[in-house]
Amino acid sequence: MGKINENYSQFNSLNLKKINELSALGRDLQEDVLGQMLELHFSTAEDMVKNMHQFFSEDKYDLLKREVHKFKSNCGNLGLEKLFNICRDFEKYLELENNESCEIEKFLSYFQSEYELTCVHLKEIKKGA
Amino acid sequence: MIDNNVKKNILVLDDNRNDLMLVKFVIMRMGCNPILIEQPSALIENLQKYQISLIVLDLDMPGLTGIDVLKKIKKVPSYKDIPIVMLTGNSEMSNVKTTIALGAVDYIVKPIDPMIFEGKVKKFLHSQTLEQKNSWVEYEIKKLTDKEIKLHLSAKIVSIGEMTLTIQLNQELPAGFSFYSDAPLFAELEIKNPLLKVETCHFENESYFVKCSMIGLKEAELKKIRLYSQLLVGKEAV
Repeated sequence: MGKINENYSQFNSLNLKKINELSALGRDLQEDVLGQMLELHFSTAEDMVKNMHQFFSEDKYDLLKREVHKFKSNCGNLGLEKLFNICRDFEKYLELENNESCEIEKFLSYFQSEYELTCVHLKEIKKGA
Repeated sequence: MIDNNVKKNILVLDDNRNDLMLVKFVIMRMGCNPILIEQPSALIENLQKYQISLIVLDLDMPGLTGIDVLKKIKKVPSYKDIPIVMLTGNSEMSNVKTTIALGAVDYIVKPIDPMIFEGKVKKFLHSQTLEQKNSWVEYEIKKLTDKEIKLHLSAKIVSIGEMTLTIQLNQELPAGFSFYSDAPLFAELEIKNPLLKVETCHFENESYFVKCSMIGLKEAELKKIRLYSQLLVGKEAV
């Protein structure tokens, strides 16, 4: 993986199977597991995204990679399939020694638009939960 | 659910709060108690505070990595036997193999699938319980082979089955107690001091009837016992 994969359309923004798993876990425990997971995501995601942009502007690619790695994990837990794959490729790209800032910017732009879309989806789910 | 009266403590070290929260719920559903920490610096304190049955360790942490933490735990004699399962996001397979070589029992790939997590963790908790039981038996064997205790009991074998025998004696033996029998009838059958473990003990007609399982007998020895079972009944034992 050296360049951005522009064909993320093969992935769903949201994997409902994952959301259902979290709901089932909540039913078993008689706790609002999904609600708590979403709450934690909303309370941390915005700062993480801000950090990513800041680290990029300061050329702190190691810190940027770290933040992308964390965000990827959060996406996986919530079934944000497309965003997870963007993060995975982004992280791999940041591991390369000769990465280019224009390519990183492209990744960030893909990431940002998909992130905003997932926020809409997840807020809908939270309302319905 | 884990079959145990006392909730087992599972310690999870991961710098990602989101992963910690998900793992917390999965561990709770298993009927265990999650101990969650974000910093390796909190590890020793928690290991000292709780009786930990299993550690789940994130491999990809900044600063002190999962490999570093694993090495540290394995160096401490009181903690080195706690099973450690690694959590890995994007680590190279060589890193994962390193953790296995260093003593981790398994690894779980992120994103965490609750079913896979539960399955793997349960497997190691179960095998740990079996190991504990086996070590108890070994302890009993050691205690007797070291001649710390020698019991002089006069007993009679009243029945013998495939894997168990019942003896009649004038004193109670606690369930779980194990001992070597030097009954002459075993010598007659050329079976050297079989290890007997008390299963049940009940009082009847002024005698105790103790049902024992015979541990570690070879197939040939069991065959002999089966052949001579009729002959054995009524002879002096233990």
